[in-house]
Amino acid sequence: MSDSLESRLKKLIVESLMLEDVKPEDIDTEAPLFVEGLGLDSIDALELALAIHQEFGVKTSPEDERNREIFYSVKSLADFIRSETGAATVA
Amino acid sequence: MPLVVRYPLIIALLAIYFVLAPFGYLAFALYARLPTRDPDARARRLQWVMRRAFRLYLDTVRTLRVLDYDPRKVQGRAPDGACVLVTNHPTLTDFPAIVAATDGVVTAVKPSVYYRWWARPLLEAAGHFPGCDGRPAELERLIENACDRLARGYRVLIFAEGTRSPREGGIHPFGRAAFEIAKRAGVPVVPIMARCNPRWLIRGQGILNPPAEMPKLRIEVLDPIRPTGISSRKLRDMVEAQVRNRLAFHANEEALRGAEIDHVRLPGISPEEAHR
Repeated sequence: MSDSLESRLKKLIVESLMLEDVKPEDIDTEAPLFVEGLGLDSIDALELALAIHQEFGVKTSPEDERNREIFYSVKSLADFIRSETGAATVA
Repeated sequence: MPLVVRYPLIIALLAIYFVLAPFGYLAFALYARLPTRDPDARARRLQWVMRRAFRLYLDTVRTLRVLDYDPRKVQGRAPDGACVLVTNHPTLTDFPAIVAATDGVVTAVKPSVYYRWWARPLLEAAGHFPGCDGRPAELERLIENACDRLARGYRVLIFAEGTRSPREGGIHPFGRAAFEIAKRAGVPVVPIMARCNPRWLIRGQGILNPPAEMPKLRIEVLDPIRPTGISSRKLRDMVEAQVRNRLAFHANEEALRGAEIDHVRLPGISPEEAHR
């Protein structure tokens, strides 16, 4: 069950950020998304936050000090979405 | 010119600056605080004053042989109307150099400078806006502010490296904010190549630590790019490559010129004889 949320997130990352040379299955669930990992940047963070809000109804505040941890990897994003919505509704 | 002569010239320059700056600041501050019905007209007048002040400064440093740069001889020209000017940042003096050569320029100012009590009213009145300290909220605000200025017809200048170029040479990878701004506002991106050789006022190098030779600052305005049908990522890569190519071209040209000079200055042979 939990894999499907991670898969949805990977697909969302590729589609919403228009990553042309990356396939969802290429993204490592636990690897960092920004800079050294997938190489996303701060503009991507804004777009990804908007896409997550539209897809899962979960809103992250730009002022939230936990953003660095929340957006660290697909796994941390999935954990955040589960904690905000309840696993049953998104997994 | 030997360093022993250039030091007193730089000190003279600083003296001129510190004598004139308070008057300039006062005049600017008073004008910025006058009530107005048209903040854009006031901003444009303040930008004009800033442009003239930077021209005066650059003419003075050129006359004193501290920096070789003439804002009237910039290669290329930005298009009329709103656009995003994207440049590298080799030296502190590239900002006055670009503003002195271009009308209606506003920029994102480093937050640590923008929010100083004495700077903010002036910068705000002239249409500038706070830069980004890395937090997503600040970035969102920066993009909104830049799009607002573009809608009002200004040219927005962004230093795409985010900081001054590396001390050891080359440039930092460009960030994407400038290109995202251009896409959202639907205005052209104008790449600008800035080159200072030998390098001066790079990060960590004070004004009293000049290179042995007089630095030459060159600004080159490249062809504008319309952001339609292209992602901000691609746009960023294109512009960064263009700026890198122009820098490499000039570096090669200088290396070749240096080699030619070495060739013609053979001991005991005049350059004319060497060329025969």
